[in-house]
Amino acid sequence: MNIDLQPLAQLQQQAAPDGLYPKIMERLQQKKTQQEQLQQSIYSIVCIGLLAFSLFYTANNLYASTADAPYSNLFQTSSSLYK
Amino acid sequence: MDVAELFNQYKVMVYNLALHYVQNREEAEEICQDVFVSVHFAKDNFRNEASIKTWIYRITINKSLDYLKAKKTKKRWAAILSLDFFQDHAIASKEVQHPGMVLEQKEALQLIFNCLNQLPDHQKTIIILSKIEQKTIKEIADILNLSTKSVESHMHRAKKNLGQLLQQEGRI
Repeated sequence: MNIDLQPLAQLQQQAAPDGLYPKIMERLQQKKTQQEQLQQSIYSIVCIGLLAFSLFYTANNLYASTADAPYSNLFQTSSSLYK
Repeated sequence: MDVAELFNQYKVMVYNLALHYVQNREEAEEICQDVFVSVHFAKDNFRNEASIKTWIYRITINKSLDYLKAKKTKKRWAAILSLDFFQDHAIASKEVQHPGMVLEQKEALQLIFNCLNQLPDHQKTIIILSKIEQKTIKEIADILNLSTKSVESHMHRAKKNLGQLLQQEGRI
């Protein structure tokens, strides 16, 4: 099938519009700011996670040490009562 | 490699290629901005496997196709929400405002672009590169990262489909 696509070859080349470069720079700046904000959010989430984990870990350890012998502090022979 | 330098060297190429895809000044400008933002962030990963021109060609093609895909999705949702799908679709297919059209060829080009816009992405790209950008099969194969055989086969199918569409519209 012979199709006439010659008109496509006659399309005139256009100049790039004025003020395109400053717009690109503005967009780049926006993107960089967005990336920084995202990075900060990720750091905050990681910090909160670590803090929550360490609190949980400490609380768990404290509970474990008292749960093994709940009244052990009452029978401390080293206390001043036995001296 | 500086963005300003690349911009000065390739702005016309990028803008015109985007224009062939979207046939609209504002949208081509938007794609052009997207391309150079991507070039800025990806330039450190550029591995001299292809020439920088070919690389920028690829980015422009991908950005143009992404833009068209997003536009189509947006239009489809808008049409579904307004419950006026068929009317919107009919209007959308007639929108061709390529500023490079000369007056004598305007009618023929409107028709060709309307049919070209209905082709699958690969076929549309191959017609744009070969018939508008006047690239050889080898150059197209480099840009699209395909074999020359594959480009020839896409080209054959693109011409056949475009011919059928033009025939339906009464062009030939």
